[in-house]
Amino acid sequence: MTALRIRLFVLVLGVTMLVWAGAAGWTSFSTRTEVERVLDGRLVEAARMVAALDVPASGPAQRLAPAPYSRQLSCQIWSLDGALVGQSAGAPDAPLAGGAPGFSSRQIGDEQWRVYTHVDAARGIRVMVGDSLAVRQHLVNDLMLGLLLPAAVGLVALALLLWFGVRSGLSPLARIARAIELRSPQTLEPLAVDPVPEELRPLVQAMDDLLARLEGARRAERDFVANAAHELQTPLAGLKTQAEVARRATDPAMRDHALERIAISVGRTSRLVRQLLELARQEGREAEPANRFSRVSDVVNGVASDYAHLAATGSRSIVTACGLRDVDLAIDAEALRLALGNLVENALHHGSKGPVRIECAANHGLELRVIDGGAGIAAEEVERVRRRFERGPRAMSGGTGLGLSIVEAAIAPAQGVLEFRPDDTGFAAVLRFPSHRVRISSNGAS
Amino acid sequence: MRILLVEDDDILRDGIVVGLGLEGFEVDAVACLADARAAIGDHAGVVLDIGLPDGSGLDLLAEWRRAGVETPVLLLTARNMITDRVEGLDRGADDYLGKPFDLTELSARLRAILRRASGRASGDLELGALTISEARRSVALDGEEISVSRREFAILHALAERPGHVLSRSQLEDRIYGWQEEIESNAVEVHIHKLRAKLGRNRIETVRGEGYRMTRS
Repeated sequence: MTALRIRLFVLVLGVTMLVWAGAAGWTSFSTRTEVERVLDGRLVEAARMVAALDVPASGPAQRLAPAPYSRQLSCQIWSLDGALVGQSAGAPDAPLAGGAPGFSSRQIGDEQWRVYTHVDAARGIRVMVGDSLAVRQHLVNDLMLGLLLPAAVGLVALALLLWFGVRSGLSPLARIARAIELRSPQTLEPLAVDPVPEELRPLVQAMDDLLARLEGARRAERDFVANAAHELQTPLAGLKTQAEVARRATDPAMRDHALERIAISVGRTSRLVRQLLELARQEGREAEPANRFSRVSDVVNGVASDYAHLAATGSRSIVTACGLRDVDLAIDAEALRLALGNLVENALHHGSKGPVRIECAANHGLELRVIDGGAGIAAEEVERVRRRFERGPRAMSGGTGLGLSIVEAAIAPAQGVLEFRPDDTGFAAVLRFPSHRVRISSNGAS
Repeated sequence: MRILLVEDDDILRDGIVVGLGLEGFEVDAVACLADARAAIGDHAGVVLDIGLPDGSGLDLLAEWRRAGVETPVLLLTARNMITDRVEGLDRGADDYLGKPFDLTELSARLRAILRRASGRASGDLELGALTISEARRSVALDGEEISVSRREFAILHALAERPGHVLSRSQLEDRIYGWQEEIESNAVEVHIHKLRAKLGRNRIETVRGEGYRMTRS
């Protein structure tokens, strides 16, 4: 912030000074030229004026009355034959110039002179009028000082004004910086800075968007933790109550019953914890690259054999009808297995008697259907059961309400979606993947 | 004392039914709002879970209160948020308990709200020389503890809560038996007979054609 202010200040001041120096140089040059011109004109005029005076061409040298600019101008009148006829007070005795008419410069003693020589042949005199260059320089310097000094003082005032100007110009930045500084690390509210200059609006907007996304993520996390804790309270209450019953039981049958319940509850609670961890893991996954393929039929067969035992304990079976032998899907095989497995487990728990079928179909992409003979989920219930921790109205005890959330989280990185629809033979839970993630290899080799 | 329990988790439900049974309550248990609506009747109190599969227990509570059901209600909340508790109490609950809880605390709180509902502050009922302690489920006559069975205690307690008030046989049956229990046709008479033998004949009067009542002294 300070750096930006100083940078801007130095830049503006530098440019100003450059322009100012240029202007000063120009002024100095043109003033000097003009002064030279005026003073040269004065020399010519003075020389002619003196020549016009009635001065004897010969005779003893006489001192003329001091001219009005005696300190600046010196005048000598020479006869054409080289005798000094007259001179002004303070003029040197040596000739000021060589004798040729016109302007010339000469060093006399330690003084530099600028001289105009006027030759009046008719009267036989040569008039030399000279200016001491030191005096001239002094005049020019005084003039320049008079011009530049106020400007220099102005420059200091300008710098001061610039400093405050830059500061107030950048005050919206300072306001935003202060607003950010004053926030506690916990606040993720939008920056309340108003008004925001147009140039800064995208910055503040981007920042607010980021904060909103962060806040959303944090809220989701908080909700998840709260929900998870909440979901654990009930089984814990059950465990505690049953433990107390077991401790206070008056007969062995009551104690055995309570202990049996405790064992069941521990099993369910650990499943809940496992599913919570699974969900957290699946939700942490990044979008999957579209070039790492899994063989669909392998996963389907794997899931079928994983759940064969569970199916058998309920006198059910799992039938696979996956004709697409050489279809690959760009998804992590483990994630697909998890998603499909959860659906199969749901079907085994909720569907009525009869086999659970896993079907594959290429239908604008790829569909994996898990079909059971049950009544399925009513359309108005679908949204509810998708929600985390929500169980269907006829849910088995011990369901966690997390299965479908895990399915969705597992297939989301591969752009898969979960749908429910009635099927000719029952109810289908469908995993749909877009066609650009599907690859069909012609020879069947992987 | 007969209690209605509304809780969807089967293991917790089973634990509360058995546990409150050990504390001398008769518990009818249901798992969802629809069943609770159908079941509510002559219960001394209700233990109501908030999160149920077919809706919120808070809504059922508000519905009951609007319909004039004044049965004391104790809420079980898994979400231990102040707002939930405040909302529950404001909607007509008499008390709440966060999960997980202690069985003894649940039964003590239940006894307390039932006591308040019948207009008493003390946990002991005193009728002359007879003292009935709810918490210990004990009966003492002239300072001597008398052993009574669970059912006998329930009948004595029901009658002693409102001395002079007549309770019919079916009212007493409702108070002391749960749904699934087989009731012998003369069960109440048998219990009354035993109580009279232990406490003296004059404490419980038979009102012919109406039922039984406790004498005031």
